[in-house]
Amino acid sequence: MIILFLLIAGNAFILNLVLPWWSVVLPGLFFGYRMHETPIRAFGIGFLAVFLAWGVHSLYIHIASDGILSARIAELFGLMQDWVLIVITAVIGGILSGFATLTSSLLAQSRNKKY
Amino acid sequence: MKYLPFSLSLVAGFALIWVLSTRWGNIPPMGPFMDPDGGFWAQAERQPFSNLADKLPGLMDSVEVYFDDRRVPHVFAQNDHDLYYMQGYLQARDRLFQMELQTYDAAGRLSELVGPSLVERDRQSRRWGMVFGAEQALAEVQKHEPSWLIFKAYSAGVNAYINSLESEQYPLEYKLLDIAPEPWNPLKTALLHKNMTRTLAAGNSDISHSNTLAYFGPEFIEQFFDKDHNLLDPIIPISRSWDFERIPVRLPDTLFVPKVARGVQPFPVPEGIGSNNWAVSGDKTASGYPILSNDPHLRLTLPSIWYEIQLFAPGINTYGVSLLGAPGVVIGFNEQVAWGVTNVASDVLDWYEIRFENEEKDRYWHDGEWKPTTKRIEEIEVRGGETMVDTVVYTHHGPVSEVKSGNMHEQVGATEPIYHALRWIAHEPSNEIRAFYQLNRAKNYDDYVDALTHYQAPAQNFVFASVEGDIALWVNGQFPNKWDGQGRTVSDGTDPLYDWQGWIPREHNPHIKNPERGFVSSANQESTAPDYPYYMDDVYASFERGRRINDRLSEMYEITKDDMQALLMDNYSYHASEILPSMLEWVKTDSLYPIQIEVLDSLKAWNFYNNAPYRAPSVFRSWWSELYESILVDEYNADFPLRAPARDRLVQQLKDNPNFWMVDNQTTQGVETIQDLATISFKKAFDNLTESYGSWSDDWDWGWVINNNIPHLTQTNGLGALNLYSGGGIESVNATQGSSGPSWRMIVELGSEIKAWGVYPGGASGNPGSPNYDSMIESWRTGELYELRFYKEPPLDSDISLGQESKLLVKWSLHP
Repeated sequence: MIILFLLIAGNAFILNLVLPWWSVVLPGLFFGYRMHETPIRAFGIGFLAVFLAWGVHSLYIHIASDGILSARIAELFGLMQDWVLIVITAVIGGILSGFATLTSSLLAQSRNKKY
Repeated sequence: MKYLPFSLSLVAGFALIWVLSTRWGNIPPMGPFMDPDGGFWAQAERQPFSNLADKLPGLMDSVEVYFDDRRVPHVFAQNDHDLYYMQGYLQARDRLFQMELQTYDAAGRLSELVGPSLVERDRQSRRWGMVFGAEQALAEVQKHEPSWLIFKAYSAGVNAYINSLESEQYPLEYKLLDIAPEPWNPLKTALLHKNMTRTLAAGNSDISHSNTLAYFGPEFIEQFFDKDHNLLDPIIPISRSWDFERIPVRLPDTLFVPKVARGVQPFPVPEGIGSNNWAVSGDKTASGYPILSNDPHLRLTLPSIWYEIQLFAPGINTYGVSLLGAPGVVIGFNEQVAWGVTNVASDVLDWYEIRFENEEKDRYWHDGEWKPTTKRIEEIEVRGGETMVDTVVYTHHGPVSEVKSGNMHEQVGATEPIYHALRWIAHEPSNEIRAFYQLNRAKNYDDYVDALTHYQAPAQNFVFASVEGDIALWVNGQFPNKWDGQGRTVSDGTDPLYDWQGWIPREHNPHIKNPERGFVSSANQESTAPDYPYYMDDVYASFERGRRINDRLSEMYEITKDDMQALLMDNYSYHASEILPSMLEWVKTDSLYPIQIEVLDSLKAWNFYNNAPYRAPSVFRSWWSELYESILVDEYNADFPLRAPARDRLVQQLKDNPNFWMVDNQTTQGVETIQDLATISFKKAFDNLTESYGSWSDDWDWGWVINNNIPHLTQTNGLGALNLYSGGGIESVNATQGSSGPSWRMIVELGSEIKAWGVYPGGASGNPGSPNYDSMIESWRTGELYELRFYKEPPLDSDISLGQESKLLVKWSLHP
């Protein structure tokens, strides 16, 4: 479980540096198929992995840039707190990866079933 | 069945990706936008700005760029091509979205970016022939080899930057709008100039003036629009005599009466778009050398309209501000001379009532015959909608717009369409870049005068000072040679006597060199006294700023930079000093509450300065606007546009004859006196301020009520600087008010070592995620100036920062 988590988080982060945003679904799709987790756990692990990858990444940028831009974008979206922006970023990444991991784990599960 | 859960999950996953990659209304596609690597987060600047040595394909030779502590680039190139190539590259690097937005706007293509909401604006841009004008200009530019080379080099530089971008590097606004930059070309530079011409030289009141003349009659016109305020001090001193005869023009026997029209006023220019400039001679300065100052007042936006830059190459070393999208420096100085501009409100835009043969509009009547029109098909692409096709008909006057008719008195039912053709200076072939090219290299007065001959529009008061000790001011541009009052009303499109019959020869343009009074100045007021032989128009700024500057400069000696700085920030209101004492006499205090008496007392104690911590300016301004409204409300109640008297003309009228005929409200039974109106309007003003700012307290400070906001170019929330506590006023030298004001303040002290200071409300970078996006706003707000670093040779390597130790200079070495 920890391994799956680390594999997804690490690979999603690296892929995202070279490929567009949707590439964060790839690690979940790939590793979710191989690691046999229950669907709920698969979703949870996939979600949490990229939630943290994107969350930490955006938090780092937020801090390193003194929050100049995050404050402006938060105001643009009508958010009261800048950190909500980081949470939204993390959730978007998490949900994408969660569904990917869930999907591939369901595929693996289905193929092992007889009917 | 066994694949059902998988299939559902797969579909849900794809649906999620689709939702996140789609733009919903104004909400950007959230997937790519929030992506920490490629989304908006990528624009959050977090690397220290650092030295660079790199290849830049397209350069002919090596180039050094030094960025100073405000990140102003100082470009050292070895030829003109590389110099303007770098200017294009750097402007694009810092302000690409702004460059594109301005030129999309000029070309009538905003709908392509944002959708149907801006179709109407685009259509007006097309009907005003903006692209047509830019094409005329570009054809002219191509006739002058050096100009054309600059245009091409500049474009290539912009494109070099655009081509280097991956989509995650697109500026923030591109991600918000979910669009991509398109290649630059020289036509876009020409379009930018047309955009400036539209901002500064599209003012006209032809339709409203015609209606006013028909509605109120000629005496009214004379009373409110012909006479100048008695404190008016024109730009060219009254003492100037004119030693030439005007070029004669033929004029019609009687003035054409156009159909009453509602018209369209598509590009309103708020009051507050004006400017100041002046130069004082060495006789009046402490250093013995001239000092020049300029503050152009424009709509204030983030990023700022200006881009500061130093351009150095063989034959040129100039520093100043440039426009985004155009090569060269517009306002600035070099080692020998300094110059600045303010707008000239002369009438270079006229409407002509057109008679078409039929609705096909293939021919129109002019000079006793049917003449053929040409047609230009305009296709307006609309994002998320169908392309709109509009045929714009061109006569020899210019492009034609259909205007709505207005009803006057019993003449109800004038329903036939009215067609107005636009004759506008922006459609003339011109090459303003050549003027700036030469001005940037000018060494003396003669070079300056020669440079100006290539400048056509928007006409500017070019102030000048040189190390040799000359000061001068030319009211400069291409001005039509008109008969008295020509084009003030809607003209007869069939009669050649209403055509522009020629131009005022350049040497006849109003100008003055080294006047006896020791200074030259302009503040958008009338160019000359009435004895100037040509007619130039009547829509100039009120007298107040110009008078104040001249009053102050006359009494100043041993002038230093600090004196000029104080004058730039001068908040004195001639308007208040002229009319407030009378208003205080008129108001009937017996019906006022004690708190209102207290407010009145603060007005009585006021020194007429629009300073931020005072409350009186808030009260006065609100009171005056209520009073103005209450005087005009009944007379000006018409369903077609009428031209309202200028502020200073109404003040003059009230002082001369407080109970003149407009004061009585004709819709009421009794007869109102100015005392009645002053009292009612004072109470209204008090109520309005109470409603907006609560009870009489510091919240009424003019600093807040001035409503000084600097919004983002697209008005996007979060990207502007709002509620800046500031002093100033549209009638003060420091003409800050609302979202208009001094867009660049500059002082240049000539001498063996030229010294200069400046500030604009913004920063070098157009990236909202950069600390340099708005870094100068606070200094601008408080009236501070930065000393401008003007290098006569490339800075020494010892000045350059290594790592993050010193922030003095960052050096980029670029080679082909």
